Amino acid sequence: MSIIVNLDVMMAKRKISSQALAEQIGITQANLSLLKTGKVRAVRFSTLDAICKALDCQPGDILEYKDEPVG
Amino acid sequence: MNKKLKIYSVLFVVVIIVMLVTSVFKFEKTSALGFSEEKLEVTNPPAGFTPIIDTLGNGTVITHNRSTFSYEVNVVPRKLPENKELVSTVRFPAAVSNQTYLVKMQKVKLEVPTEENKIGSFPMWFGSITGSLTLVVIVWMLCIVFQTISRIRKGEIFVADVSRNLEKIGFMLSAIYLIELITSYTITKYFINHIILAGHYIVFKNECNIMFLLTGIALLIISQIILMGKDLKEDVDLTV
Repeated sequence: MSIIVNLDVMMAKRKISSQALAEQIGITQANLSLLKTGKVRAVRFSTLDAICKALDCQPGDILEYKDEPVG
Repeated sequence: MNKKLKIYSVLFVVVIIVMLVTSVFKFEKTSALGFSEEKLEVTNPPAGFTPIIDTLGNGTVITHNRSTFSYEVNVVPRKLPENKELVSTVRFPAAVSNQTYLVKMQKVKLEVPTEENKIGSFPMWFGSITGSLTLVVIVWMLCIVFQTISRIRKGEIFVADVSRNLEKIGFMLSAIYLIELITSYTITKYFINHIILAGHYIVFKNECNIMFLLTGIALLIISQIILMGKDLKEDVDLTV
């Protein structure tokens, strides 16, 4: 997939743990871990909204698009 | 629609069309014409066909049936010399008199004492090999069926393993039909080439249960649908 999730970078900047962030945004630590590693298939706007609110950032700070070459 | 699903769906439609066409048009391969000494008669069975009677020391009489080689073949009546026909008297319980009907046999069982069999052992050993092969496939298929059911009972329905198992079962059911068809055709062709039956042509008629094939292909289609379901489930499960 060409979408890169930079959630761990933002979490380090804001000095917040996975457990605390997961509790704040209302998802399990397992799902947060999947999100950090980019293994999820989709993110709901409600979840993105909660993350941006918790980390005081923009969606572009967490999600990055990189054009991967074919093959 | 994934590629395999397309292929299996086309195959299903093709088999249905072939089934309809062959039920309307009879594609029959027949044996050769008659021979001069041919007879079709009701008579006492020859000596080799009578049961063996043994008398024990204490006077007890035991009757053994002789071991016989037998095989069922489909037949079509042939024109008999001098325009003769095979006839039978039919009695109606309430009728005043009997009535004569022409007898048109469609299927006969040919039986001969094993030691006098001149047809050869090919039908027996070929039938035994393909029968054993079918048995192995059936046992293997049942194992996979039980495996699949135990996974489904655990709640794992839309997983790759279940899809693969259903695909395997589908191929096995189709294989059973094909083995049956090839066996039936090969043995009947052997009879067609090696014997001439009095008054009848031996013909090949496909009597293999086509439901095996259709069910097999249906399972192939269902396996691809389960695979698509697995992808949809993953989309839902991996949405945060």
